[in-house]
Amino acid sequence: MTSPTPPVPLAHVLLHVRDTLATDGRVGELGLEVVAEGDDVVVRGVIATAARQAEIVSVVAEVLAAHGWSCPVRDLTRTPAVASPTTDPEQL
Amino acid sequence: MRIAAVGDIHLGADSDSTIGRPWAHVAEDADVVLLAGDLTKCGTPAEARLVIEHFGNVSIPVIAVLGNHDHHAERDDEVTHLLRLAGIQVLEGDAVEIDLPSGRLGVAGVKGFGGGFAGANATAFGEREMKAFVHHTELVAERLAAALGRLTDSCDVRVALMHYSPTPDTLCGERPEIHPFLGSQLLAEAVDATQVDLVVHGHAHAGTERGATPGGIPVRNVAMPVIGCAYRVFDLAPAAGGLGTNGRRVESG
Repeated sequence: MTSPTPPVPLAHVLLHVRDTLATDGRVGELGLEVVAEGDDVVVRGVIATAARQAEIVSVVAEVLAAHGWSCPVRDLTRTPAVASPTTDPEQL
Repeated sequence: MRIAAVGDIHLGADSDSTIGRPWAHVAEDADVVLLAGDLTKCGTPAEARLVIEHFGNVSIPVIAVLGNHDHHAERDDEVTHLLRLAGIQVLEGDAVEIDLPSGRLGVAGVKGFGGGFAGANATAFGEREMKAFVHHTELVAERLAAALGRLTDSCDVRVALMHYSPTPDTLCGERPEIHPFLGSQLLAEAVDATQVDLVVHGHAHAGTERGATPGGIPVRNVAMPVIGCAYRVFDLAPAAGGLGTNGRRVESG
């Protein structure tokens, strides 16, 4: 009889989450911050588009599940505002 | 001389279709467009075609460098080729001079790389992988220095265009732990060894817009998340007699 495999510490899983957010084509954002806060996994940073932002929670949940974790994911990322073309020129 | 600049637009199939709207009128705001890398999400030819859709019909010159995202698919040669076919000048260790209504602009461009800054910079010591990392930075900085050196004295304004930052000034806001992956002081050393009026870069999404090299050259982080608009415009007034804006060029004769 073998004992159940202990879960991978969440701190290690969060490294894989961050890597996946950079390399998974659904998100593809390098440099997002992924941390555990209480029982939640929180993602912060700037992501290029709303479509990519909408994928964050599911991508994170997939990686967590693959490592035996299930916890709430909070997406606190933001998308850059690009509606305005520019501001006044900077004189140099 | 009005220079529009932006970086880190990360165009992909899922990009907002309205992102390109402001570019239809960029010629009203500027004489030239500089793109500071990360034009695409993952660097595929399909994404390069999206860049062309957005910038290929801009009526003023467009000059670009690639960023790390544009290398991710390892098809950067194809991306560069496609952009150049569409009339976008892609620089990597190259320099270009353009006559604009307000004077002659010289731009030297390079992607750049990480390595860090004084007091916390990487050193080519130990494992070959570590040496390779640092040697790539050194090579890129040498390419930049060479490109800057090729700009002729006829340039009224000189700009160094890169993706990675040459100074920690414009990384303020980013976690210090990742500064070595966001830029290298070797890039600033190359800039300060020549006569440059402005350095434009991207890459640091959480960074700060304004900074300077140790030699005092203005550095601007134009990553779209930083500037919060479609592009930033810099107005550099060429001084009489071909002196750069900084007035540091020594005229002969």
